[in-house]
Amino acid sequence: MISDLEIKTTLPSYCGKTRVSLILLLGSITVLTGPSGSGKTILLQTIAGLERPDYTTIKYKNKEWANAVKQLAPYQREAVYVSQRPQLFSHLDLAENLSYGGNLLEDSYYQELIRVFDLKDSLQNSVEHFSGGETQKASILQALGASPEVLLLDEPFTGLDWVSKKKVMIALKNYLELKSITLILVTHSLEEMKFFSDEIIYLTRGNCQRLSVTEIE
Amino acid sequence: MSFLEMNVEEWQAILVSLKLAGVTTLILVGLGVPMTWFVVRAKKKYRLIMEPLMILPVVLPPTVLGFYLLLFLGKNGPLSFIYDWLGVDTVAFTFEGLVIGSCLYSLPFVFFPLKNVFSNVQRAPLELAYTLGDSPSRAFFRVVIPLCRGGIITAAIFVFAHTLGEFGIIMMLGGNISGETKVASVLLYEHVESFRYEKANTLAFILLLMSFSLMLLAQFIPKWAK
Repeated sequence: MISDLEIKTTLPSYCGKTRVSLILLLGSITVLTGPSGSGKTILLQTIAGLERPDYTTIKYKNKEWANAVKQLAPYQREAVYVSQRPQLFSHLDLAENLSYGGNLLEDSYYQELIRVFDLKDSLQNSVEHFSGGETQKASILQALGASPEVLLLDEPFTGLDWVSKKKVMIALKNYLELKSITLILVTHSLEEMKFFSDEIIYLTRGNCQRLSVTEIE
Repeated sequence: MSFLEMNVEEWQAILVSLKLAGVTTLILVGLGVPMTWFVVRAKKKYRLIMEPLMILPVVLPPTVLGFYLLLFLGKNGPLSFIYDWLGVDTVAFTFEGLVIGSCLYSLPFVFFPLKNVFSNVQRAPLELAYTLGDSPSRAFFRVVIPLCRGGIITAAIFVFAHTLGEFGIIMMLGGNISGETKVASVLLYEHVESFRYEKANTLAFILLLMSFSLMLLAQFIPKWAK
């Protein structure tokens, strides 16, 4: 693995003005956790370019996504963000939603992912009446369909039953390794932390530190 | 009242009205929809200036707008250098002049319905489009337009109906050339002035029927579009 995704930012005052400085390896999986209101979501949105706190510098490979002078728009970054309240485009069917950011529907690995996510039979269906769990799974697939180099997932498994959750987590991790996608995952679940990463970024109001799973336990 | 007794001039006036309404609607949907989106999304300090400009034609007497347009579009107006280049004298008293006046006069009929519709577009679908690789303009066409198509159709119907009934600005700008700038509402006025009430009644009934049908459409098409 080569470095780096470098992030330096100061989270807004309502998140405790925490100074965050992270260097992440490309293709790695990083878990971000901490109490509610500590700025986990803001941090993901900052990396995606949806939030723009002052004093932010983000460097990805040799490209500056954000510096003191300018910030690239979200569509100019190689990152895709999936919100903790995932949404799909209600005017499109599932297949159109999945191919919104790029068409991977012919890719055999992606097709396998759709099958494991139990959405193969719903491809031509309207997404308007999807359950919360289906929407969450479809949102992850939609994000992967855009072929991101950095995937930012904000509590993506909370609405899933435990059988689906296990299947989705395994298939997702394999896919990320296969395509060398860097993942930053926000979660409160110890099970998800253990499954995805040995190293955890623990964010509190005013503090950001690296911990191991055992330290969290 | 008989449609069979209508003469060529009356049919031509109705055709000019329909043509003017169609061209105005196409132009205003093409330009007014992105303009309204731009105004709705602008910062508040800019909106405070832009919104009154967009709705000004509603409160402005058509004669005032027509008068300024006449000066602006006339032979000695600021556009005269374009006329020299195009080899024409002026666009005042031509169909093209009518279209310009009509677009300005009907602009609020795009702005009002779409302002509400666009204001209801949430941040979430736009942010989703941005993060999936869309620039703001691409997201406008791929997300905003499909989500707001009911409102856009309503706005288009209102513009068409409003243009059919335009009178004041056309009197100021269009002159009275049969088959070119004379529209049904102007011909109706001429009939009344000359006490040809029977003919006026026929034209008035046609305009009433068309306007009512359009308002009925405005009720049903947006629901169907969803």
